[in-house]
Amino acid sequence: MSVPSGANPKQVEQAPAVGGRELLPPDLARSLDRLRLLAHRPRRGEMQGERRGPRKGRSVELSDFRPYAEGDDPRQIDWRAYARMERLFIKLFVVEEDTTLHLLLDRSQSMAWGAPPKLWLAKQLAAAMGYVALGRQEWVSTVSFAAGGTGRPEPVRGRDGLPRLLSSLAALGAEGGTDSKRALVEYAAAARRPGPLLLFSDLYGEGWHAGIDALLAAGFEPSVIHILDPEELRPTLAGDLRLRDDETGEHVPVTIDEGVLRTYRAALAEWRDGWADFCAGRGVTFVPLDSTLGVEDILFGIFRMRGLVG
Amino acid sequence: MGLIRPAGLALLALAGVVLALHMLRVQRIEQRVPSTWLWRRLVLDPPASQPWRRPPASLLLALQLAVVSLLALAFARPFLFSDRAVGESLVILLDHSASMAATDVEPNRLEQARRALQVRAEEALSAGARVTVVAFADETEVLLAGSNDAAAVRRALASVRVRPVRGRLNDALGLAGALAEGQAQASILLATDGALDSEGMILPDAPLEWLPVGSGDNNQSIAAFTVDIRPDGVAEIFVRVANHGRSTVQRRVLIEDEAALLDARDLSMPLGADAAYVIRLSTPVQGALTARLAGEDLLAMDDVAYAVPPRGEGARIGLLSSGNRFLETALALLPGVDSLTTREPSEETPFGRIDVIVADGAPPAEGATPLLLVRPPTSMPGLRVAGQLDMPRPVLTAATHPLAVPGLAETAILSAVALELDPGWQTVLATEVEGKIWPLLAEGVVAGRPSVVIAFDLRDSDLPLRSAFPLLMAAVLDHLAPTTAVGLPVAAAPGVPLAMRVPPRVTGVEVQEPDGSLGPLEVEQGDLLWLPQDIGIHQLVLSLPGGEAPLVIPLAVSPALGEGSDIRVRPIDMATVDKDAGDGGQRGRRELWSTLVWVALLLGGAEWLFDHRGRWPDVPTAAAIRRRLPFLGRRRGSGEPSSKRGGGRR
Repeated sequence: MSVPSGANPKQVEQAPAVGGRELLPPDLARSLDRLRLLAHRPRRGEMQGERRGPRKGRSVELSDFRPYAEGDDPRQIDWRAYARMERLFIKLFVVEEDTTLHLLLDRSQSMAWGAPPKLWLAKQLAAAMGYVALGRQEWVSTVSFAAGGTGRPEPVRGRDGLPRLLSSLAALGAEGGTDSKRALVEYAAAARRPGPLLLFSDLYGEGWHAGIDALLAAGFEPSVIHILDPEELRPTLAGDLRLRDDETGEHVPVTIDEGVLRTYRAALAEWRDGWADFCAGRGVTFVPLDSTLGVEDILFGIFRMRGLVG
Repeated sequence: MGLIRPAGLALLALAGVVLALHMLRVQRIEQRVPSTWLWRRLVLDPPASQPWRRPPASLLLALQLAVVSLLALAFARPFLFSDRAVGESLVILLDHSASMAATDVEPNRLEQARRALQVRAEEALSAGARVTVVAFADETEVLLAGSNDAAAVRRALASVRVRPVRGRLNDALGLAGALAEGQAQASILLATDGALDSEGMILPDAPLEWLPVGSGDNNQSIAAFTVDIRPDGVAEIFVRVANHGRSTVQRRVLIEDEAALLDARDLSMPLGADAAYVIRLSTPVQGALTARLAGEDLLAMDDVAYAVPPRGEGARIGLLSSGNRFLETALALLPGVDSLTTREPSEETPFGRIDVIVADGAPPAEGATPLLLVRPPTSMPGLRVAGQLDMPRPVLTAATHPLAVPGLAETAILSAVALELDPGWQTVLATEVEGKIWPLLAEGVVAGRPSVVIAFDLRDSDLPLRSAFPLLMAAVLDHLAPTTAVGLPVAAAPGVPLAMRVPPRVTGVEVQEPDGSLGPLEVEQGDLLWLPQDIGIHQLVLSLPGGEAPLVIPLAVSPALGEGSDIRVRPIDMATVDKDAGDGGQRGRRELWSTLVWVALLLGGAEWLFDHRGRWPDVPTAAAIRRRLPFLGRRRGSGEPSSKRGGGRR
């Protein structure tokens, strides 16, 4: 097996061996080594990592200058500026700090729908993004939520955390309904290191906007990955039906003809446009996906275009 | 336009039912979806969740409504008025004489007349009239009387076939007039080309409408065709060909027997002229002869004729007698006797070829010739002379036997020989002496020869003076020489009955038609009445007992159309046509229900195709039916995904 330069062959081979072979095949893992996680704004971390932090300090990347003040480290004086302007300036550097990538997966019953199921794609994408983050010595915190409650965050760091990440993802199963607002608000309140957050969901139900606002308020940089099955995007239902909600068991009588399907498609487009507008207004990345798309196409195409990875 | 059964429009209510079925939201199939969140937003539209909905603008509904409407309209029996007058009763006269086979119209005059009559009959039936169908040619036959059944009328008209005879209109009009008489507003519809015998025609009182058919006149016919064998063996064939057309034509006449073409010659015939000639052939003629006109004209039926050489029949009788004037006279006068040869019993000269030997008081000569024994002098094989009977009183013992001619039992007999007969003899006349029966007249076999025995000398009785005597002689001759006694002509015309007396020895009669089919003929009390129908050579097959070869008699049946071959369309004198139709008749109607039903069937087929093709394979037709008619039962689990994976797909 050939391994791309810069990748750790051992880790690549290890990834599928911990129960996540299907989530993160070795070929995909090798190709992911070319990617890195992009954050829109620096985040404060606890340990020095590869990402820029909000604090200025020692580093290799010059951030700004400020006039020298008493007590400053004389080693930070920019003598070249002094030579030009005969004033003392202190060079300010961006401190490279570690960042936590938060992966939030909606595991409500509706996510089990499709071929492949939407949750499967969410887990694949989460595994891939987690792999990218861990490869850059970032923290990765994975949480799934449903109406039954929100799982406990399990932060891992570095490539050594990959097996745990994949195991936790592989163990996720769809069940119950969705209480999105509660889940997101609780997570926002509980998280200690806000950072990039990827929310994988089909976004059915109410309360999502409030939850995302809570995440934003808590300092997260959320991205919404909206996954729908082709049957949801372009339903082929017809006739007099009694639709049964797979999550709630509720029934909706409906007579579906071409006109109704047109209306459905219009409502779906309006719904997704509304999400796009909502996210755009808050600087949140909104990524609508078809669950039948390939993971590599999403990662190297859509995610790159949306600035989630680089 | 009108409606015969306006109440039928009530079926239009079915259109409402169809509409209601489309408006009613029927029992829904449960369908799992990941979430109804988006669908609930659609259901905010009230019609989607209410039991009734606005009728969908679908082609299916339009087709179904059209089908129901058309069927309801057809049930109301709409009609269009026609200009023809139709009474309460219509008598159809259809000419099926030979000229109706003319092909100047497609496919022929009879078929065209049949179609036209069919239309008129349906119009009349639509107007509530009763229809009578009469076919006529040389005879008139009522095929259907006073029916209001369109199918029966159609069958009656379809059963009519052309007869190779000249038609006679007078009888048909007389019958039609009689049928129309006594029926209110009866009218007669006559379909003919007018090429028939209308002499002495008396028009009926009822309104008569003529439906003319045909237009051409080009026809030639073999008007006469006979063959005779002269005593010197030369065959004389006479042929006469007639041209009934309006122009001069040239036709070739072919004469052939069963073996070969005998003669062919071209005849040029001007309008209305005949051409006749005689052919003499010294070579023997093989069986029946056929005369045929080569080429085509409008009527093929009379382009062929058949002839059979005359049979040289007639019994040859040998009389062995010392002199019996009664017998000589009676035998000589019998119509079936060709020759009578008399010999003295002492003469040794043989008779030669003889059909029957009459031995009058003398022993017969050796041979196999049938015998009439009159007072046999000695015993012979099969009978023994046991003595003499004086003044026997005759009694009929087999009254139905052909030899039991009328008046035979009244014969007064002076004396007779007492005969003892072997078993197998049939005694016809006998006398009783002291409790014993002695035959006076019997038929049986003597030395293997068919024989009739008369136990008394004719001169010892008054039988020769009685009318029974020639009858008895004729019956004896029929019995002993059946092959010579069949009084059948050699030629006949179709439809002309032929009568013949079947000889007693004949056990059965069959006729072989020109097409080779063999069928029995019914013989009643020795008489056969036969009506040949088909043109061609017929063979009468007479079966004989005792393994004898059957007698085959050929008979030529040729079309004897005469003037019937003149197929020119002649107008019928319609002096009384429609004289009452304008007042008493009602306008004809042309019903439209059958057209509407056909259109409805077509639309129904289109509806089925649309339903089938429009939904397959998404919704099978059977599923659609179950959904619309839930009482028929719904397959359990129908519409449920078989598994979670992909369950939302259909």
